[in-house]
Amino acid sequence: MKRNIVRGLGLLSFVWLFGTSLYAQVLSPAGLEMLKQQKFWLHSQNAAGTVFDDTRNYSNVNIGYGIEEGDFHRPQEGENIKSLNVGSEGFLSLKDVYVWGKFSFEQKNVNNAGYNASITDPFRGMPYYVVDLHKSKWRNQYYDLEFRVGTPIYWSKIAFGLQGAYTASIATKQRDPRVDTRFYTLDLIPSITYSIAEKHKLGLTFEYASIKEDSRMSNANNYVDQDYYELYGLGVAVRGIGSGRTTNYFGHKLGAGLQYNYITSRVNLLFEGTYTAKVENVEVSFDDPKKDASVKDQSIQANVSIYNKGNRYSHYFKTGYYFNHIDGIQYVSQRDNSESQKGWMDLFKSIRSTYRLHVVSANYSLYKNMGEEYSWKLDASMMYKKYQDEYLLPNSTKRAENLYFGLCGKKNVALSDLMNNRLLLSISAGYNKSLSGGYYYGGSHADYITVTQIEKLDNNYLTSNYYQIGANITYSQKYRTDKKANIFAKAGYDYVKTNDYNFDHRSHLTFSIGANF
Amino acid sequence: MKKYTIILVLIALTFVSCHQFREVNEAENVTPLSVSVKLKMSIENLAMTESFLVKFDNYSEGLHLEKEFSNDEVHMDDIVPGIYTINVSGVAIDQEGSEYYLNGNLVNVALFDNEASIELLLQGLKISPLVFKEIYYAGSRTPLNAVYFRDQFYEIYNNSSETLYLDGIYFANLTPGKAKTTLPLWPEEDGHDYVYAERVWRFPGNGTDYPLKSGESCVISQFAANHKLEQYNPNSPVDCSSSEFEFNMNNPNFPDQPAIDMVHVFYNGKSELGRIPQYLTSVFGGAYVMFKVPHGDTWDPVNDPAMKTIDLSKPNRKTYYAKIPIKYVLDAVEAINNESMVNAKRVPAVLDAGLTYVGSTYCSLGVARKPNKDKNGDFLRRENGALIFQDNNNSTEDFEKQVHPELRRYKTGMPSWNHSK
Repeated sequence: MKRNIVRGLGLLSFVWLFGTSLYAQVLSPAGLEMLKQQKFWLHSQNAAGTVFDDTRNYSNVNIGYGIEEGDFHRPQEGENIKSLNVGSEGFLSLKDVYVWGKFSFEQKNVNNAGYNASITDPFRGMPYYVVDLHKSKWRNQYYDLEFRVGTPIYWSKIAFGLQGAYTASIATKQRDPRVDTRFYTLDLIPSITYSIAEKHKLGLTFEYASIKEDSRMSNANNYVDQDYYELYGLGVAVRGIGSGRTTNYFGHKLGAGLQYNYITSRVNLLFEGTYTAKVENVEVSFDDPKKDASVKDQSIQANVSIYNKGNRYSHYFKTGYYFNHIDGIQYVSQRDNSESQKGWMDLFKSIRSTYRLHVVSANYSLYKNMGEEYSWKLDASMMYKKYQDEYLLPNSTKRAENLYFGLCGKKNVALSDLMNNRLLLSISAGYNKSLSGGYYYGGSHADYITVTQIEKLDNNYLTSNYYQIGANITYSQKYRTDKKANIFAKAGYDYVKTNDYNFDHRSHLTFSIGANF
Repeated sequence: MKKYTIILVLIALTFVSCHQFREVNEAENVTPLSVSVKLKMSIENLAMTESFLVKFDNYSEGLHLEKEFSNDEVHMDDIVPGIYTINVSGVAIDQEGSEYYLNGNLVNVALFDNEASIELLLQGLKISPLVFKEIYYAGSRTPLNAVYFRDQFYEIYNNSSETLYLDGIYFANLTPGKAKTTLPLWPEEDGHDYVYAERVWRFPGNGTDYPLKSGESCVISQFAANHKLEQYNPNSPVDCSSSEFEFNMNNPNFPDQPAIDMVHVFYNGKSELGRIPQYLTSVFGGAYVMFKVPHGDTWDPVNDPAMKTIDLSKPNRKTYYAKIPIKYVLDAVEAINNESMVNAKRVPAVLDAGLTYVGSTYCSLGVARKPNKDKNGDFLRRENGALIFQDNNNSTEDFEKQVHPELRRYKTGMPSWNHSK
């Protein structure tokens, strides 16, 4: 059923984009990048602000392939990941509404992933999942459909909008204990903007999301019982043997956001502050559900983006702060075997663990203008990240503090204007400095792999110094001289190197082809 | 119609999400608790008691607290909220000089209220001269990695200074065969007086046919063959051909061996063996009892409806279990999957206040009772040289886990009537 919905919406999205191409003008990859970066409301949650973006119609379709490998990765990530993805995105300005849509599908073949036998993404802020001892292949599929609809300004003051996203994934572990897990979120964000004056706009958003993951473990070989561990955070685990468990994760997210936009012909500034609160319950078994845990996940985010357009040069600056706080709540549940009840009773709940993440980031870009594109571009970025995780009783802690600096230079070489031939070259470099961090385990069963391997390796990863280099090359040209469609081929390579904790490197090679309309 | 459906779904989602948010907002940071335990004695005429030991075990989280005390009440602090097994044990002597183990436990006690008060009934069991010395239940793997479970065995040891007779003593495995949290529901009038068996066997003999001297042990095998033979499982850790007894189920593929056959007594309300030609106790770990019907008592679970029952939580399933009076039991051992399954403990504390496990299946590992040692670490022995094995009616303490199985470990004596002698 879900798959049919995704297929239907994907088809709709494609038709949409195809229709868009009838009206759009030719765009090189650099031009599309610059166009999208300038449209601040598009990057905000507020779809009602689309009317202020003055975005031209565009469409983009692409298909890509990537290979990622190397030992510098978090313990639950695959040693080797091969991925194939297709995607499309487009904006269409109709008479009375502005419509933006995006659809992507990715197939990931993950090899030798360890310490996860339960959920699609062990890093999504859910500490309660199941791990096993053996590395395994995973076959994962990801579907992502997003749309935005915005109205024009009514009564010279107010516009309305709606943003929606449906993301779904199917992930299957290929070795006992196996898991077949299905995850989806449905996210809706209605919004409104109010034009205070010609240069001053105010926006307001509300968010509601439904989250669900259905994880079913089993053994293909019923004669061999497998060891597994049910995680409770920071290495605390309960050991089991057998085929594992089925787990029902379900939750809701509520949020609100506020935007302020100052815009003139040369300067565009957008401030956005958002708050979201998510609650997700973890129930073991569908037939005889036992409430095992819950998470209360709160996030605060504030960003300021500024774009200054000059005759020869343009400047872009964005700075932001993100704070995430997760309370891990565990239940004391007891089985009632009496005839009248028969089931699990939730007797008590308490916060047993807390997870905090602070991120401060800043990005600056300098463009040398070249019509609707740029001739060259220089990016500088900085990110400070601080993890503060604690299991309250018995006390365990995990902390990591990192500072990352990055530089990126891009050159858009105009080879010919007749066919709009362009060569976009990019090189980047970065360095991560680990400022502090460490893992202390004060609970029982300190010999479990959840302590000695998962958390220890993860702490090693999070407290490693490393440098990063990368290069990208994109060739693009018009499909035919009389057509406005622009086709492109892109290859990229990123390499991360460290010598800390016996890690070595991680590399990521990507190829993609596509077209802009 | 469609519009109303959408509105109803939205209202339902709003209600569910509000409830979820309200519930998590009620949760506060965990704080440690203080709990008091009051003891209630079931034995009268006690002349002397030693100090008691109280243990709080939260097996799923691996939290263990213990404290010695001598009164009838003790306070425990620093308890993390959770599900606990509370054990109290001690030794007492009555006015006639009989020695008792006093044990009481409460399984699956949810502790979350600070200053909670718990009352615990202490029951007494006379110290048994016959004990389970070694149990191998987990099975092994063949060279082709298939599973093999025919090599299970149970060794019984005379831990006293007297010669005892095995004749007429019963062996049974209790239900549920495998530890699970959905425990059966037994008749309320049974109170704390019974344990419930799936299958019951009896040692043959007319009263004096099978003497077991002090320091001797006998082995009952599921199939009393040399399991290391090519036709069985060369990877099996044991040769059970010297076993004194076997559970012969008339299976032509596993023919009757020279070992003496145990007498089948009860299975599903009848004395017949049943349709499946094997006697397999759970490779995850079962609960085993050895008991003796006192002179003058009659115990016939097949013909006496009062001595069998169904699981009342499954009234439509007519599977009968034998009721074994706790006062008949000589020794009991409970084995489970691993420490996380203690919430599913089946055996009352008066029989076995703890539990043991190998933690895996088909792993060629078993559990073995520990010999008592003196302060120098030397084995304690009787005058005849017989080892004295530890027997606190607590398998957690009394048994060594995950041992390579071995018949007559510590070179305990073999009875003179063993067929292989």
